[in-house]
Amino acid sequence: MKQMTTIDLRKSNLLTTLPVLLFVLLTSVLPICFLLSNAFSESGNSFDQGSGLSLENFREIFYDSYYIGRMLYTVLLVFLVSVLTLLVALPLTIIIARLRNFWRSTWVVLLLASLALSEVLTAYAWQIILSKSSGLPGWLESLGLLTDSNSWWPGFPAMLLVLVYFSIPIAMVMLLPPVSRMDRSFADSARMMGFSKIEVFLKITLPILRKPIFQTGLLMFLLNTGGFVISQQLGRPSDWMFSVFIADFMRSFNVPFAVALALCLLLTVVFLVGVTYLLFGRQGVNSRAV
Amino acid sequence: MAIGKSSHMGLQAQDVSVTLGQTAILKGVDLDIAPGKFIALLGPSGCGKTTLLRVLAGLQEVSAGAVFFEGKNITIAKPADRNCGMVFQSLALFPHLNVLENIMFPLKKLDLTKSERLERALNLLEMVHMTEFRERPMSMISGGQAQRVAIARALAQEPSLLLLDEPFSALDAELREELRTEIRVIQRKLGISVVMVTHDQHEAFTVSDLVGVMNEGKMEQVGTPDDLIREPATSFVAKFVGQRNHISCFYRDGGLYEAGTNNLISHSCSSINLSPYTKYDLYYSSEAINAKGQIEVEALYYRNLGGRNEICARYKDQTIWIHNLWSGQPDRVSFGIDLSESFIFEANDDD
Amino acid sequence: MLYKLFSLLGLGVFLYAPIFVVFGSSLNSSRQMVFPPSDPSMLWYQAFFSDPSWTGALVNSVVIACVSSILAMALAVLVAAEAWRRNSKFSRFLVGSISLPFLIPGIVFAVSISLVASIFGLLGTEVGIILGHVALLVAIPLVTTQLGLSQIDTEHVDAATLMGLSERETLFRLVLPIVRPYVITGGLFALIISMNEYVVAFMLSGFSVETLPIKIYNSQRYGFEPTLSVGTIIYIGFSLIVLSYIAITGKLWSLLGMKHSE
Repeated sequence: MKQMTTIDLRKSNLLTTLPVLLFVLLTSVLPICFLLSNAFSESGNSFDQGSGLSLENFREIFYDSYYIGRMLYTVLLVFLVSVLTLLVALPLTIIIARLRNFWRSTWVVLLLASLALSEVLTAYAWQIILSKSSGLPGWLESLGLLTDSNSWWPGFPAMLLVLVYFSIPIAMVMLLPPVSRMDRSFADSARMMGFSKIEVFLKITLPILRKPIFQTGLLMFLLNTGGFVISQQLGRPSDWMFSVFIADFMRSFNVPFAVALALCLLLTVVFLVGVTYLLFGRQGVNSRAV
Repeated sequence: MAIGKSSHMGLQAQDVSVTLGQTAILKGVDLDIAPGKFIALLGPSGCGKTTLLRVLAGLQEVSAGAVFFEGKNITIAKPADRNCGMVFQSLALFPHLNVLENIMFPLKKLDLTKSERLERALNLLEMVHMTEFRERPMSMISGGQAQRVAIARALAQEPSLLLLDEPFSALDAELREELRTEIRVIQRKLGISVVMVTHDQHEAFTVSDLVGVMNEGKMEQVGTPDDLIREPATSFVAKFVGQRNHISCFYRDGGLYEAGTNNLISHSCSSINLSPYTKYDLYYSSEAINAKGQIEVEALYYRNLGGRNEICARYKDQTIWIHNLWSGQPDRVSFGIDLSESFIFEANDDD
Repeated sequence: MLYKLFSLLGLGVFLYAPIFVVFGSSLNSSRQMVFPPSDPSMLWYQAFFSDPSWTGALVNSVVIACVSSILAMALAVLVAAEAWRRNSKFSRFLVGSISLPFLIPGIVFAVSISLVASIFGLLGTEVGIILGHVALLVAIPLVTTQLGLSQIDTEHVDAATLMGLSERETLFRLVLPIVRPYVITGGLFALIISMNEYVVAFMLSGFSVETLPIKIYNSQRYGFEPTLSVGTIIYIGFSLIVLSYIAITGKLWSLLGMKHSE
C-alpha cells in the first residue's frame, strides 16, 4: 500500500475513525470478552449470566475424553477434507488457468456462483440427490445397477463428499490467480531439459505454488471448522463435527456450556494455525514467483 | 511435412510456416546458418521472431516446413532431444532453488555421478563469474547476475545450440553491453551456434555474425550487418536498418519526381533501371541529401553538432535531419536526393 | 487434450448436478420430491409466492442483505481510506480487528456476537442480524477497496495537489471514481453472502426472525417440500445474475489479480 506523500494530516480524522473504533469494539473486542466471561460462568439457561465465575463448564468438557475425542476427530476430518479438496482442485485449476479468456471467465463465474450456495442449501440439495426416493440410489436401482438400496445419507461418505463439494469452488477461486500468474516458461524450461510432465508438476509447479496452496488449505480449514450444517445434516450423530455440538447447546439454551465449547474450538484453531505458521510459514517467504 | 534434406551440420529452417487459428504468424521462413555462428533475429514487435525461436526450440509446432540441425530433421523432435539450451525472456530461474541448485537441475537428466554433476556446475558458475554467489536464493541476486545464472543453466547440458529470447531487455545499457560480450566470448570458446532474438538494432549489429531481419512473419533478409546496410534486399530492410527516410516517387523523362507534388528529386537516374508510370519507394539517409532538388519542407528547429549546422525538418510524418547547405536559418528549404547513396524499390499496392 | 475436456465436464456436472436436481424437484406437481419431476408444473412457485411466511422470509433476507452490505461498504471505505492515508499502527489495528469476525470459525463468531446482542437486547431482531452480518462481512469490501486503492499511483495524487486541489477535492474527484467499482463489487459479494448466510443469522434470530436460509433449514425438519427448492433456485439465479454483472463490468479480473484482455 502506497502512502500519500503530499497529503498527511498529523491528527487523525476523528469524525471518521471514532464510529469505526466503536464498531470494532462492539463486534470484535466485546464478543471475545463475552466469550471468555460466559465460558467461565455457571451452566444455566438462556443468556443470564450465572452468579459467579466457575470452571464448571470446563470440568465437564474435560471430564472424560468425549469432547477431546470429538475435537481430535474434527481436526483430522477437516484436514482430510482439505487434502482431498486440494487434490481435486489444483489440477483442475491449472487446466482452467490455461484456457482462453472467454472460457476462463465463464468458469470463474460458474465457480463463484456455486460458491454462493451456502451450507444450508448445499446440504439440502445433496440430501435430495442422495436420497432414495428422489435421487441417485433410486435412479440406479431403477436402471438395474443397484439392488435394494437405501438413501445414501446420513453417513460418513455422504458428509465427506459434501464437505469436499463445498470446499472445491473456494479452493479453485483462491488458487486461480497465483496459478494463472505463474510463468509458463518455468514448465517450458524444464521440458527442454528433458523432464516429463509429471516430473515438472512435482518438482517445479508444486514447489513454486507452495505458498498459495498452503494459504488455501488454511482457509479451508477455517471455513470448515466454522460450519456445522453440512456435518449435521449429512452425517450420523457419530460423524458430527465439534461445531454441531456448539450449535445444539445454543439451541437448547445451555449457553455457557456452548460458549465454553466455542472457546475451546477457537483456542484449538488458533493453536494449530500458530504452530503451522511457525513450522512451515517461513519457507514461503523467499518464493518470488507468484 | 519435411521436404528437403539438410545440406550441412548447421541450423536450417526450410519454408517454415506457423498458423494459429486464422492468423499466420510465420510465413514460409527460410534460414541457413553454418555451425558455430552467432545469428540475431531482428525485427519490430509482432514480427514473429520469438515464434521462430520457439519453433527452433521445439516449443512451437510448425504448420508447414522443416527444421534441421546437425544434419538431422528435428521438425517434430521433442525439445529435450534437440541438443539445445534456451534462455527465456523472463529467465525462468526456479525460485525455490538457489543459484547452484538451479544450474544443477538440468544435470539430473544426464548420466553423471553426484560429484561429477557438482564439478560441472561449479565449472559453469566459474565461466559466468558467479562462483561466490552459488548459495544465494533467487530473491537475492541482481538482474545481471540472474542473467548469468540463466546462461550457465542453459549451457549445463552442453548443447550445440543456444537460444536467447530478448535476454537483456530488462537491463541497463552498460550491463547489456557487458553480458552481450560475455555471451559472444562463451560462444566462441565453446564453438556453439547461437540464435538471439532482439529488437535492438545496435545490439544485433555489434555482437552477431549474421542478422536475420523479420517483418510480419516473413524473413526479409539474412546477412552480415554490412550486407544489410549496403545492400538491403527489400523495402522493409532499407527502411528499418539504417533508419532511413522514405519518399514516394515516380520516374519521368530521365528524372525522379515526388509523387503528388511533382517536385524534382534528382536528375541523375541513368544508372538505375526505372520505368515510367510505376510508383516507387525511395529510402535515403541524411547523407544523401543535396540542394539540387525541389522537395519542400518546413524547418522546425536548428542545431549545431560538432561544427555541423543541421536543420530538423518535418516531411509528411517523418522527422528528417538535413545538413544546412544554405545560408542562415531558412524557414523552408528545398532539397534533392543523391540516388547513388539511396535505395529504391517498387511500391507495393498495400502501402 | 481430451482428458482436460473430460475433467472439466466432470467438474461442471459435479458442481451443478445438485442445482439441477433441486431445480427439477421444484417443478414437481405433487408433494413428492421426485426427480426427474413426474408432472412438471409451476405449482410450488405459486405456493411459495402466495405463502406469507415464505415471502416474508425472502423479504427479510433481502432487506437484511441490502442494509448489511451498504453499511459494510461504508465501514470498509472509512477503514481502507484511513489505512491508505496513514499506514500507522492504529490503522493497521483497525484493519486487522475489523476483519477478525470473518477470520475466526463461523460458529465461534456467531456464538460470541449473540452474547453481545443479548446484552443490548438485540437478540431476535432484524437489527441484530444486520449487526452480525455487517461485522462478519465488512472484511470483503475492505479487501476489494484496499485493492482498488493500491491501483492509484501516488504520482497522480501529487499531480492533483500541484494543480491546487484540496484534500477533499482529491478524494472526491480523483480517488473516488477509481475506487468506486471496487467498493461496489465488494458490496455485491457481501450481498450474496449475506443472503445465503445461515450460522450467524440463526444465532441472532432467536427464533423470532426468519431469513430464507433459516426457514429452509427449519422446514427440513418437517420433511421435504418443493417450496424449499423454490427458495434455493431463487438464490442461485440471483447469485448468477449478480456475478455475471460483476464479471462483465470487468473489475473481477483486477480483483483476482489475473490478466484479462478483452
